[in-house]
Amino acid sequence: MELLDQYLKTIKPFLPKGQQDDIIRELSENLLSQMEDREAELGRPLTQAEQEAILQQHGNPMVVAGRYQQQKRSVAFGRQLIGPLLFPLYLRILCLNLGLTAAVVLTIGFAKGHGVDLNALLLHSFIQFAILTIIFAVAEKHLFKSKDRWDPKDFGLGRKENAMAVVWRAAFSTNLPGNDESKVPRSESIALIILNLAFVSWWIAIPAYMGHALLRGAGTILKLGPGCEALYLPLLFLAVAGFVQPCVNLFRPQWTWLRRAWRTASAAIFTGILCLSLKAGNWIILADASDKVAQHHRAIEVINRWCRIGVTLSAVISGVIFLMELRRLLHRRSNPEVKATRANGMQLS
Amino acid sequence: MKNSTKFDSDLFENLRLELRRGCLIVAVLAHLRQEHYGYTLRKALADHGLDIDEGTLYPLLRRLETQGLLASEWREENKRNKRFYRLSPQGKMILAKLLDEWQNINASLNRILQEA
Repeated sequence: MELLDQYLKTIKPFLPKGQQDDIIRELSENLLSQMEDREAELGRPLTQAEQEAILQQHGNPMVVAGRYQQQKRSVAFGRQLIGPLLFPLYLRILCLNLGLTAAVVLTIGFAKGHGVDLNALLLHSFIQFAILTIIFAVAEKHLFKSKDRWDPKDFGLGRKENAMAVVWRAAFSTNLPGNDESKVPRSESIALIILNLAFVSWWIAIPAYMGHALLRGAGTILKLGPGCEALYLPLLFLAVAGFVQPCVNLFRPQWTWLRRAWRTASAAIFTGILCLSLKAGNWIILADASDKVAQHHRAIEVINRWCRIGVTLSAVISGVIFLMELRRLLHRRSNPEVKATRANGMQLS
Repeated sequence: MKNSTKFDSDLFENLRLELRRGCLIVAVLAHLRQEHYGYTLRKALADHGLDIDEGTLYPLLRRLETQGLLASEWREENKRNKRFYRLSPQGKMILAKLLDEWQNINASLNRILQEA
């Protein structure tokens, strides 16, 4: 009953503290009784697949655990982002991250002899808060969408995982039964072409009024710097190249490998472009290099600091997306069922 | 047309679940006049035509116990420890009131339906 043990271990961290062992013991007894009943009916021990079917019917481990939660605290911004099920884990990991961040920033500050650097502390805490909230909000959304379409294999049953790994898997799983991966919908290809066309038209028009429309009234004092210039042409080429995949998939929707390959490649290229922009430096500079007004210099410094944070965050997110897409691409290549589907698609075409 | 059918079926499903929710609690309390553990209770309810999934039943049993309507104890059966639930004295009192209420609602509904 290794599978049952793993299932219960996956549920446990999401149960209310203080009741975890008792609930797990009770669930274990009920599931064992159900399995024994089934074995008595069949007159033989259950196979792995039959055990999986019972656990699948019992429910997604995170959803099962969520029904035992008595506290209904959540994170909401207009609508609920992180529900009562994931909230306790979110809070625990957020506190741990903020504690570690504070310890590291304060240690560095004291080591350099600056004392408490409140700006750095707030900045790094904000970044930690934003990244963790995004991960949990995505996990929550995905969990809600796929609560009835979970697969024991997808939840890492059969291998040891901690609670955070389970949340990560819930957010970014690639193995949901019912997902039709055999075709790229034509509506998706058309939408992508239209969006790309709008973006490219807008991007091409930028140089005509660069420094005016973008910077509004400040255009006489400020202008776009090397960080922005490093983005311009590479992003334009990337956007133009982005027409190829939806155009091909419009006529060859069964070539899903092309969409996956393009997503992986474009995420990698986009991460590279952002890194180039970070290396190039300031995104906004003074229009007049001899400007001596202290307020202007201060404003430039603040704007560029926030630009650096924004571009860094985007590069990190884009890098993570690249790794996820790469993993999915490799998963597809090593999955015989997907290979067979792809081969059929090729034959049909 | 397809959207409207889906809307109707979603609406019906929501209303059905709402209607079932209260009835299931009464059914669970009524069944636990005799002692059961989680799995046998679920089977007994299913045998009487009331299918309830484990993910709903087991947390419900705990909630009713926390509210004082059920009592439970771990006991050995067939060489394994199981948690047996039964109706508490307070649960008996509440069940009697709920059944009265249910009879009244049922009678009223029947009268309304006959008039219509």
